[in-house]
Amino acid sequence: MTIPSVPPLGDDARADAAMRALFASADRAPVGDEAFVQQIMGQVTSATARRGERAVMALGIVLVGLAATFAPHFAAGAGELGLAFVKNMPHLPALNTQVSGVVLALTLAGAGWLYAERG
Amino acid sequence: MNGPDEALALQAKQGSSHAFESLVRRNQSLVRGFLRRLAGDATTADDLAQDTFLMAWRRIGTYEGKGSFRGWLCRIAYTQFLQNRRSAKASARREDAVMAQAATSVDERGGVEARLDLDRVLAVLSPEQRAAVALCYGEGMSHQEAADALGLPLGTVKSHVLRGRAKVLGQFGEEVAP
Repeated sequence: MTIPSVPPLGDDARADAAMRALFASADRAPVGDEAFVQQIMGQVTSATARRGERAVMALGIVLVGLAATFAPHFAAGAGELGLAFVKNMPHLPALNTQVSGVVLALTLAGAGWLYAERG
Repeated sequence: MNGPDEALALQAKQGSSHAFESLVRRNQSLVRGFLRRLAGDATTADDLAQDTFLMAWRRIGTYEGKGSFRGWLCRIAYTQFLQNRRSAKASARREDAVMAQAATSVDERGGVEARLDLDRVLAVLSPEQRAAVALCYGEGMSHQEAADALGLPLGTVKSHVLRGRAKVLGQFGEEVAP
């Protein structure tokens, strides 16, 4: 590949023409590459299917989080878990079981949302 | 903007995979070409192009139809390229090697028979300059379209294009003097 002419720098029109010619003479991906298109669509189809599975999984995670917050017996267990975690992080303020249950629920909901979005 | 791509994008937004397939068919050459100029090799570019279209399918709901679809797509492609570049330390080493090769080739050029390889030429530019130059000269986008695609201010894109052009012609122009 060669640049067809050497424009004097500063001559905008000729410099632009030389740059366009440089790109025009370069290899390009084929316009009608059906194999590539079908490869992409295969991935799109499987990604769509996985998205459904992820959405169900994410919903499950969110429900567990909500249960940890609003079901008292579950909240106690979840709160204990949260407190055990917080105890190892002295710079955090002390949290009661209900608050740590909410924190846990929000964390799980966030994780569920991220999982549904990104997989 | 209401071209065929934008109409197809709105159908794809409603969930039509057939419309999205048409979009892939119409734009795969653009995306692969753009990424080829950024990444410097066809294999990496095709991998990134696949990621780009998958991300476009996931994000098609966010396309509002305000700008051109190809600009929206190129923005995803550019983001994919930047993420790949950040995450892969090896790619930085590879880029250094390409830059070194380009510099060596310029230094060692002895005759007018040296053929220019576009990837080698673009390797002397920064990634931002490469992206702006590739969109404006390679894909025929206006400065404004390129600015939208790269998420950069218009003035910055103009500056990248002018400096990139000067660098390319300054280093490689004389090589092919008739």
